[in-house]
Amino acid sequence: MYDLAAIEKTYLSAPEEAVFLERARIVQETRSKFAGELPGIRQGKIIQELCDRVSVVVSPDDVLLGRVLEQVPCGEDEKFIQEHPELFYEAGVPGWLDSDSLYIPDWNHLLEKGLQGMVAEVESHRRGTATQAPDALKLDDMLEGISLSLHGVSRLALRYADEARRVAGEQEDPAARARLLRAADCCAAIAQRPPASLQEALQLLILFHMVLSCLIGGRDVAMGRMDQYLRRFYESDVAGGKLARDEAVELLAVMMLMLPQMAGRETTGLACKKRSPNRNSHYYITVGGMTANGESGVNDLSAALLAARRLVKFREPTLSVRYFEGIDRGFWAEAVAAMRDSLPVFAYNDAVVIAALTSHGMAERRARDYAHCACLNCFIPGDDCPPLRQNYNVPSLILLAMNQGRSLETDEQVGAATPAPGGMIDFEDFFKAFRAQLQFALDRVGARLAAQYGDMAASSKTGRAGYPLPVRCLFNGHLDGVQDYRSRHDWYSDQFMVGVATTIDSLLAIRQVVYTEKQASLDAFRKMLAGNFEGEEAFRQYLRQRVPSFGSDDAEVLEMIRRVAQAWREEVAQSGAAHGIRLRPSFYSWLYNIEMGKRTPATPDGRRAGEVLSADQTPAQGKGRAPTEVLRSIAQLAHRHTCSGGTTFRINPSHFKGEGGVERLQTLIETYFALGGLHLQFIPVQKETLLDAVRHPERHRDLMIRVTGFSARFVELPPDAQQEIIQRAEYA
Amino acid sequence: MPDEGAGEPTNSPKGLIFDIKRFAIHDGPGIRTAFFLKGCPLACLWCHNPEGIAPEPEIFYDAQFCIRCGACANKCPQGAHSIAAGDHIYHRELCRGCGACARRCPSQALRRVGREMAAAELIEIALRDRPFYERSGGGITLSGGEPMMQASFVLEVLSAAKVERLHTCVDTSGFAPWSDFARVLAYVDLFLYDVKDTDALRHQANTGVDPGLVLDNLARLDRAGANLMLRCPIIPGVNDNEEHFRRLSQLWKSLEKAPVMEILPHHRMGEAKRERIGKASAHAPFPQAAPQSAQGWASTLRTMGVTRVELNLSHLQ
Repeated sequence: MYDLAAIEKTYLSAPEEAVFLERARIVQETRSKFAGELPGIRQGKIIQELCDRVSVVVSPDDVLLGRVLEQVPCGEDEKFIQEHPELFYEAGVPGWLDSDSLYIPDWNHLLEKGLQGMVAEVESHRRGTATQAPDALKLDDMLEGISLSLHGVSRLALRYADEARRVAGEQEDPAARARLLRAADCCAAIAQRPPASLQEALQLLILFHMVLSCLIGGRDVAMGRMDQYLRRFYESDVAGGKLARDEAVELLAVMMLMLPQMAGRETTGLACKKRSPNRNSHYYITVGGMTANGESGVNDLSAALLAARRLVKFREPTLSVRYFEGIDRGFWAEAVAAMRDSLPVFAYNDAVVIAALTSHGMAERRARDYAHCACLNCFIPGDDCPPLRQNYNVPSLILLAMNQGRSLETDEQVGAATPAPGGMIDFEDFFKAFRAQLQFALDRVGARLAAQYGDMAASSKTGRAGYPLPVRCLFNGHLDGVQDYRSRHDWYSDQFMVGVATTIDSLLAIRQVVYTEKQASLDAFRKMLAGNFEGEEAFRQYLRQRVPSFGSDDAEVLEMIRRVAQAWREEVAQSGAAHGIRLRPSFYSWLYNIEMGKRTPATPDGRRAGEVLSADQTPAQGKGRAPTEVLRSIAQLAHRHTCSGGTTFRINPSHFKGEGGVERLQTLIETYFALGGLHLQFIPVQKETLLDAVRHPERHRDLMIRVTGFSARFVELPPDAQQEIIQRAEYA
Repeated sequence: MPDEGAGEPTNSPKGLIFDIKRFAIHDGPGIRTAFFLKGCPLACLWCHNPEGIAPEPEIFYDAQFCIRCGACANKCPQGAHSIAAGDHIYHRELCRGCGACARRCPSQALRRVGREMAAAELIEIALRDRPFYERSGGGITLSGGEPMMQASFVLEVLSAAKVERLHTCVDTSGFAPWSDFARVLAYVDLFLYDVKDTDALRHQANTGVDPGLVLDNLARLDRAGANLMLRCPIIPGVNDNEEHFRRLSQLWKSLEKAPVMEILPHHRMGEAKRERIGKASAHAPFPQAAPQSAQGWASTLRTMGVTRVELNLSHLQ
């Protein structure tokens, strides 16, 4: 019906060096043009200018409109880019235009009210503002700015409609002409009234998202629970005979293709060289889960979104599937099959996420409405999203505990002054010192975060706020006061423990070799770490191979995991209480484990200086075990108190192929969730990994290949078997 | 891999275990924990678990992990290990398998394969994955080696498993006295029963034993109402011929409960392990089966009337 391949090709043919020059030039010009205006009106006018002046690009294959013009810069343009990097590179820039990243608006409100309805809402707030209120003028200015910006978006929709009609006129193919005219009608309609069909609703979402992420600039604006807020459009279209299910699936696929390429780009992760104000942006859609009333939210549209995702070859968007006990089995099987097939789909456990959110003070009905946003966060669409977070290199705190709070490298006092190694006579003494280092680090960060929130609140009062103007209608209570989320509500922030397994393995190693076996004194051990195990390879190997580690479910390991998780939770809460902010614990590394690892000396688990720290909630590199054992190990982390973070789980795809394969993966996920796990995603083993295992077997001792009646470690297979499996893996 | 036999003395029989696999998915239904019991009366030329043959602990040596630290050379009472010119030399002819070297080896390049364990220890490990069994219809599998070589221990484990209401499988070559099968029968939910060859002479030549007992036990288990799954390794150049398939189909038809017949195409995963226990085969390696031929074998058996053929290609994919 729609030519998905052509839409994909339009994206793929866009050169990476192309930039959105028009936007940058307009933003630059309007900076001085409206300098005399009040801050809100000024911003509203800048957004209007952007909406009125950027080229509207309609490609003959388009179904949903929202493309902008990107150009490969010439010499003069390059000079402009060099002089104004803030207009091309970063999210949340430039400074005179409110912008933000990592949030989920209340999209349902947008669809219910429509652009004009939101204007009316803003105007009604303006009339209702008491003129004698202390911030009345500022509030009125902000509301007027919002109103201006919404008018701008509405006019932009009309401009796309006109352009689509013009391009339609050029088409000889009647089907193409009809498709473009329909797209034009949708754009014209949403400029005037709330959407009335699925295509209109998707068009409004796409256009609004484009304004936020490309015109104003900002990354990771997540789409929230699409299967909930789009459901009424889908059902009424299908019931009214306006849309067949297959057509709906293709339309959703078009939306998924358009999202990452409105400004001509799909993210390519950290390697992305694209100069754009939403560089490295990710696109998230949440499906499934329970409703605010605790009933199943899974519907036919949830399945249609999954089906649409299969039609799209891009890495984006990611689908986050919310699992709950009693979930529709057919839908769940489809979701798990998608995970098995390496699609970017992952699972959250409703029971645990909701428990975690409520444990930090959220009402249960609100908590049930969570959706996924960047960095494995769970936010409530339309509720404020915490702008500040902090990552902690916790393995380095163990090193401080071994050295009286002094750096192993510089001997500088950087942590709490804990006892000298000789003064800690048993492991309990050592654990106390470790906790003291945790407390010290958290206290310092807590103080800094509180100060940062204070600064934000202060700057907000002087006119600088946060969310871009048009989206403020889509956050609870934002039309009622000038102060934005950063000062109105409880300040809260997630604290990420990086190197979870490295931490636990190091503590287990210290307990075993120093206090149980007395192979080395704590001081001698400290010296070996400072010397990066130079001349101590046998001891290092012992630490790697002979000490139990995270990922095992031996009782002593599980007990240590629970103990560290509890210490983290308590110390995080304690620091928050001390500084009047709400800190929430989390276990998550993103990619900081690599960067932090480079700067971390050798650790007691046998890791050498500069090597990576363990990732997310997974066992340390080279310490894999059977999935059931690893999942039982991870489930010991205090998930019921962590609203973010997750587990990236490498699996062997051959375990889950063929008959019963999906059920097997379902069993793993469901059992892990029943044990209290928060989140799970899978990486089927890649060919590159296998090749690396051939070159460096010592790094891949844990790599299991399951064969008929038994498993084998990949590195133990004869070379021809290894090669053979590598070739097979290409088809996996 | 378990090593280093230890533990307090007890009246209960202990088993000698050479491997434990959690999340075993090809040894019976669902997600299982498989325990591999050491010792086998057969010595199949194509054996994929050669470390399971000898009924006593052995030293497994994997040179790629050796750091040449010399800890083994210092500890070995027989002088079986030496470091010369920076290279580790293992004189297996001097080794008595005591495991002193493995206990000292920091990198686990040397491991003692074969650990004495009590039934209660096995059950404790098995129960860790109970939630996974319950959702998948899994349980435990006793494999080997030949588990029935340790029949008293098998009985002890199985009866303890049944107290815990775990589903049980026994993976057997069938080469054990009937009286032992009779003892365990009531505790086994499913026998994974090997039929290695239907040609008596070839069976004798390639496995070292006559197939009479195997076939006899199979018939008796069937008559006794045991649940069975036949597992048939197909070795290219040995038993991948029409005659074998025909006799397999006749055997299958002689059984009352029409069990599933699983085809296990030969693979070469056992060869490297042979070298690591110092028992490189004198026999030239058998070629790995091609997936297409395996499909052909299955359809041949189906045309011969075996209605329940399953092809296990997990290691060929």
